[in-house]
Amino acid sequence: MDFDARIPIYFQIIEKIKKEIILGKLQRGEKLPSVRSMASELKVNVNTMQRVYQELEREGITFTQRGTGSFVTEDNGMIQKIKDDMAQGLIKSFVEGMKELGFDREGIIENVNEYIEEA
Amino acid sequence: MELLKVENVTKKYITKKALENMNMTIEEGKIYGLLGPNGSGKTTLMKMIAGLIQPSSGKIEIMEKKIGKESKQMVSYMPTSNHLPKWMKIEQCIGYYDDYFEDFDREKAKELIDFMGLKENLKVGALSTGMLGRLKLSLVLSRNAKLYVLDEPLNGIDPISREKIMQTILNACQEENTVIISSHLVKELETILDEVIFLEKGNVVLSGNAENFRIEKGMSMDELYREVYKDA
Amino acid sequence: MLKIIKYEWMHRFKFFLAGFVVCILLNIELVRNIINKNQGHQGTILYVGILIALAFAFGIGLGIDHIRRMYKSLFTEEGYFLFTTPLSGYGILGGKLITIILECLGITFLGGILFFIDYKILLNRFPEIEITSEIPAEIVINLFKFFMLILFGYITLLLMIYLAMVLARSIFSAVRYGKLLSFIFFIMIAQVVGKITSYIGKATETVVYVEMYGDAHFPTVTNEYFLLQICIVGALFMITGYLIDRKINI
Repeated sequence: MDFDARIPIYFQIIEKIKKEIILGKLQRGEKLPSVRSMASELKVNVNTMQRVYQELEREGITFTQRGTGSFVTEDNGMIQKIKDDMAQGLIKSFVEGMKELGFDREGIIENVNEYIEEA
Repeated sequence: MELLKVENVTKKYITKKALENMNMTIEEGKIYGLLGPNGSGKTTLMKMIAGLIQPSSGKIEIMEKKIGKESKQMVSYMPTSNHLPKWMKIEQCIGYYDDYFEDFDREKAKELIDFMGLKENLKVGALSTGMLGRLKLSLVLSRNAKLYVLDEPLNGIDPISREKIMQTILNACQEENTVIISSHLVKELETILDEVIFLEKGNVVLSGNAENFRIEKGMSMDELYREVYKDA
Repeated sequence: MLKIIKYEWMHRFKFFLAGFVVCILLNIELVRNIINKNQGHQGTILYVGILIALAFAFGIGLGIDHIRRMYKSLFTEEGYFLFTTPLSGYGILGGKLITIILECLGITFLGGILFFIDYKILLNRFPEIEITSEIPAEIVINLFKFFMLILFGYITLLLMIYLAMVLARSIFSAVRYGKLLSFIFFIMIAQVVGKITSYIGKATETVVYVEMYGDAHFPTVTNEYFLLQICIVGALFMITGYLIDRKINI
């Protein structure tokens, strides 16, 4: 995975995992690989990976079972929330970006529709 | 848990002060980047930790022990220069380390050396800079030491070897290992550093957690490096 | 500490082997000459001459090598390895000295064996040279003392040179003209040691009478003298070892 070194690495990994959950690459209730193996795979520091898992747990995206490991939440509501939050994030930066270019509300919606029709 | 403590250390030479009232603490289980331009004191500090140099004043302690026979047992040091006899073959170097260090893992060394693409019957004197760098690292990381001190492990190394070296450092260092890497090449170290310590003229000008710096300043460590030394 | 012996020898066994071969050839040639009473044959004299020169070269080369070993550890990057191992300064110094002492003993022992073999071969040819009488204990003891004297003297000299080198790379390393200072120290120490040794030597000198060949007698030294030598070597060792252990700056 290529990282943007200006943004916290752990943050980028969390986003990646969230996406995988939304897309179903990581199933509900699926067991996550160990901290060490993930760190090794992504070529990051073990402590960074540890922080990722801690954050995921804190946000409720994963839960830990003592002795067994970390698991993706089974809560459908939570998974939907992740999806919504990520969408919101994208929308926010998009809209703000467009506003910076000088587009107003109608202009933004028009452009979006145009794009979707062509794609 | 504090592993290494540097307290008010000064190192004076005839013509200059390599370290000036330096204070630093290294905690267990983290990977530290000791960063700074040439002459900032990185190598001097590392040689001191390894026991090759004495401070002019101040003290250094590893697990609350003075630098000496016991601390050397805990520290695995990789110098910038070549410390291996030129006449030795790589397989003899493995024996060399094995004989002098109790915590040396022969199997791990053979694995690493193989991974690095080195043949055991080559003589040290016949190795290129890149190969030598890979060999030194393989040997140093095959010890189960508490503290690994790597002085410019990427210096003069070609990009492919650099990649292998970074991977090796990452794989070899788990939660219980502590590593101090000195470098003036920061880009390659971005994803593996926990903490960064910036040295200038023998003193610490900035230090802290890399991820926190990214959050606070929105900069990569490479950019932060340029920022810290822009007036130097 | 004993690992030091292994690695010093691993590197040098070809050198020792060559030296040993030269000595054997020299011996063979000498014995052959004595048996066949070859006189003044140009080729042989040249051959023997070369062998003797080689043997000398080996001896001197070895002596220089003994000094170089410490020099390499202190003044080149190869020393970084040894000084970062969990060995005390005394262990490092001791290891190097034990290696050297073993080499000296080994050479003497081999020399003794060669001499004995020569004796047996010549005995065959010239039965009249046989030493029929018992060799008096005094001779053996004094021979031994003589040998120990030389060995101790050599070790003392070596230690003084080591001390000077260690000084240059420890407490004098950050001092202006540190190397010059070390050299001066070496001269001073050499003077002191020399004076003490010769003074005690004269004071404890004794003469031993040997009953074997008429009135033969030769001077030797007492055990007190050796005690002094041991003390000097001990002091030099402790000082140098301490500097290596606590004050090294390479």
